[in-house]
Amino acid sequence: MSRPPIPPTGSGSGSLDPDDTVLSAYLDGECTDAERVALDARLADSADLRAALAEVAAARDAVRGLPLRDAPPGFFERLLAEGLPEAPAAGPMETPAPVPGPAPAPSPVDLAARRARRTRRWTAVGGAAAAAMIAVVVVVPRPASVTPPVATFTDAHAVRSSLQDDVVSSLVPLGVRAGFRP
Amino acid sequence: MSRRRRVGTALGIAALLAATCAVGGLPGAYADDAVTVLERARTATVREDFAGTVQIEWLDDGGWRSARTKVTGAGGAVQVGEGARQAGGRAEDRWIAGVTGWKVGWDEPVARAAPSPATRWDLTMATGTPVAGRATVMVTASDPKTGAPRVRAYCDKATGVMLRREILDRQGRVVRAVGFVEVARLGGATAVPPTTPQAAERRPSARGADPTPDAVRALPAGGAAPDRVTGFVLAGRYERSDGTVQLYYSDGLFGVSVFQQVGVLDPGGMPVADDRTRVRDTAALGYEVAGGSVLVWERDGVTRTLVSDATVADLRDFAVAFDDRAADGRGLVDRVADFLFGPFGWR
Repeated sequence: MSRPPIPPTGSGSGSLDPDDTVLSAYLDGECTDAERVALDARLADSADLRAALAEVAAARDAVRGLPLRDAPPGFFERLLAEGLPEAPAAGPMETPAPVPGPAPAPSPVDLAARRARRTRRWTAVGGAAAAAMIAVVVVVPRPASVTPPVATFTDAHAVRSSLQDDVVSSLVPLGVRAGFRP
Repeated sequence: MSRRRRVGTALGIAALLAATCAVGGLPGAYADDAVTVLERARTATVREDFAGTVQIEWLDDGGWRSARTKVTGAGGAVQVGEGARQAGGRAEDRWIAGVTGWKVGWDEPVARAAPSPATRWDLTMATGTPVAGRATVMVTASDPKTGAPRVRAYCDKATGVMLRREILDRQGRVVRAVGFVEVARLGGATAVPPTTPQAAERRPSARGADPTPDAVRALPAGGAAPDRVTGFVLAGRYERSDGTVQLYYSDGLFGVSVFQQVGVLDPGGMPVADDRTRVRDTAALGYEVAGGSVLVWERDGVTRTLVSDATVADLRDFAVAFDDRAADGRGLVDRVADFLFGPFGWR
């Protein structure tokens, strides 16, 4: 899916504001010169559009600030395979040529759209992973803490030991102070 | 036969006769071997009445500590201590006295016999030094690898009662001893056994639950009970009323109790440790007390307390081997959880 064109300032389609995809492309420097000029003009006129641009920039920085992790083997292949059906039905202009030969180089607009899609996917994946980790921390109970009653255990050992060893020498510790330091 | 050869033969025969006389000089029961002597000592207090004072000494942080108490035996019932610190035993029943009176300490039959001490130790027998004025036979158990003596048992020549037992460290130094310092009476048996606390005052503890351990087959989650650990054989496993599992191991000479509690170790409220040591890479607490050596550590959310008459160094080896055996027996789910959460320190 390509992003919509940026309507020129003062055109009849002025009510059609550029969406996040266009703003992301703008931030990434992937607009054409004409598009950039048009958008600059719109930004100069519209406080709302400037706010929207600021939000997109903040979201983009937040996503890019996430720590990098190695993905498991085969992850990217599966992700790309799952991503293919999401591609919309191609328009006449985007239908690949049936003739053999090198595929046309993607336009900056296509690249921006692809990058934006990838960004959204990664945001979703990151969010899901974070949610899973939080769920694990909350749901998996930490084991209880215990303080062994060592004096009681020592007596219990003496009792058990006296059943198979010499009774007197085994039980004598029960008749004296154990010797633990408080 | 040459003259030299005849002299040699005569000397050999003379030596053989002398050795035979020496053994024959001991009571008949001691003409067997060291294992028999130890076995006889283990059961002698059932057959013989006795009364006296016993002293227990142990090396603690480089200094000797000691305590004395009265002991009596009549009609097969043994009692040690006085006042609020007493314990008694008869056959397979044990009682412990506290400030609230007597309570039952044990009433389970012992299902599995301990292995013979000769399985793991080299045993030798010799005439021992007198103990409390009584002539003794001394049995020494030595490490077959190093030759270092690890236990010396002094048994009364006349009755077979063990009068003194010394525990030695790996360098052959005495680190613990328990023995009579006074024998008021020894020998003979009472025709009528005395009334025992079991018959008169058996009752549950203040917790309202049976305080005696019960033999268990199934262990709680996280527990482990390997059959053998560094020469020790599992001789029984029991569950206490608070859920603690007690395993008892024996190598015929030493006994080791393993108390397992599910939970991470919280050392707050525990006595001050004599020895802050390690079980492999895990911090552990060590104690030397009248009842033996104690080692406490935690691994994988299970806190274990070892108690034994063996030394703390021996317990450390036991603990490492036990941990390894316990890890071997852990299930696939536990291993997967360790793999996933181990790096985060969640387990």
